[in-house]
Amino acid sequence: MATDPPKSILKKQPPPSGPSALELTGLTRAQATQLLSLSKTELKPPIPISTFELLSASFPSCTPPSPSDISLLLSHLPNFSPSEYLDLIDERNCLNQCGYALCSNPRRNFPGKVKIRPSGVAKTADLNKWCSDDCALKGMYIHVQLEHPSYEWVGDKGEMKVKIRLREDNDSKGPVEDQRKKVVGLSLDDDMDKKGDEAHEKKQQAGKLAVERNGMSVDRVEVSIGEKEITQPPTAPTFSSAQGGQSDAHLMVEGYKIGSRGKKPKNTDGESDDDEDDDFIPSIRIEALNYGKP
Amino acid sequence: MADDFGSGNIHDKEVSRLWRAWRTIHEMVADRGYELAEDEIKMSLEAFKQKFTNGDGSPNRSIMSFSARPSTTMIKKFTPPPTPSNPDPAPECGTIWVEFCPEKSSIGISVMKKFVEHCSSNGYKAGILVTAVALSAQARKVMTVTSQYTLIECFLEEDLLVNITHHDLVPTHILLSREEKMALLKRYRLKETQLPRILQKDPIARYLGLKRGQVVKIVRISETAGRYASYRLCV
Repeated sequence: MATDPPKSILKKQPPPSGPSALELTGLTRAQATQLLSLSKTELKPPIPISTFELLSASFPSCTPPSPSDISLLLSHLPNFSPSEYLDLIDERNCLNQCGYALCSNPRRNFPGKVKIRPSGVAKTADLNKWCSDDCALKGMYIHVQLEHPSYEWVGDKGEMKVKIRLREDNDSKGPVEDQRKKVVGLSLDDDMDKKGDEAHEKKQQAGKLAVERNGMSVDRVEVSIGEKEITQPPTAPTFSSAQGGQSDAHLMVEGYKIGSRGKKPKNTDGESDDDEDDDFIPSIRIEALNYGKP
Repeated sequence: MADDFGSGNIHDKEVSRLWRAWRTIHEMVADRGYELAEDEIKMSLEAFKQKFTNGDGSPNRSIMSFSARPSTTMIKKFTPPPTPSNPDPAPECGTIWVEFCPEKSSIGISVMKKFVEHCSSNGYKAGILVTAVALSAQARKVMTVTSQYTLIECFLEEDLLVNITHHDLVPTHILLSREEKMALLKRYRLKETQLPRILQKDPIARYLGLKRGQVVKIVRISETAGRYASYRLCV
């Protein structure tokens, strides 16, 4: 008697369609995921020497830099590590060029070791890397972006690339106040010859208009300075006059008692921010007592 | 010091420093086994001034270059032992080219490339560049990249003011040939890695131009034993 073979109650699985990519590599899944994660931490290959030569010798080709120069630089920069970028500055300095890659001026040549400037004391070696302070700002602007990179997706492959933006010329960057001054200064030049209140007002109006047109809002604070009127000659404070002859007058410094502000609320309701001050002062006293002891 | 400032010429100090570097580099090249005439090594300051200074007494570094051929003993030392497949091996050393870099501000890729090209185009097996200022990081990289066909070394002038091998506390270092190294390892039944080590950047290793894997014999004077020899592997 011919019987049918027993029928499986399990769902029919599709026949295996050839070995998967994972099987072909001969790795376990764990190994594959580990390799994938390792590939993300892979070190970037060093920048080839030819790139340094390209970006240092006679680059940019013209002043101001042509769009092709800018795009060439921007295509190379994301691969640079911060130290390699400093190397590029060095390399340009070796050829006596300004360290900013888009500047074709020769670098400065201050003599001596340090230079005293309005902003402070600076090493001339650092100052001489650039042709001007403006270029120094632009150059270090790129360095900061390489040090603290923000990534952007590039293409369909899903590659992450460091996003680099060039610092624009000083006109549209910097603190708002500087900018406003500059805008006012622009109109100031025209009215330089005119004098008097009329010219001044006109100048201010023009400045305001320019600020509005530029799309910036500047918050202004009305400041009025008035003199305090003094009716009687000043007298030195005395213990009795300041606190009305209180018993703790000897604790006061120049008419004020330290910690007296925090005392009152402490008595009325327990929680207060001034508790911190009270904790702070005794600790200083203890330190002062210990000071000088071995 | 008094001599440096006393004679009035502002270049005197620089010239005398350069002369000392010149003498040390000659001694170094001779110590490595190249052929150099005695009067070249022991040139007096007066002769040096006459030969290598301009009219105003400033040194002219660009004409201070020289080359040297390896001596027969050095060729013997650097020739690998013949094998059945290579019965007549070529020596691993050749003519050396030494140049003083006239660049005074900073040395970048371009200067280094020019030097490397000059060495390779003229068939020099080794090149030494003596510079007054440090190399840039990328120029240093050029040096290592091209070390396949021409061995390039760089020395600072200020590092060459004194010949360190003449110091009392520096023992004699002798480079061993391949056969000597094999004999040593066999005699003491050692593996290479079991030898004490010396770094390639060690001042003496740089002076002798040691390469990775070479062994130096260090002979010290010992109160008890007279002479005491130790061996170090360059890593």
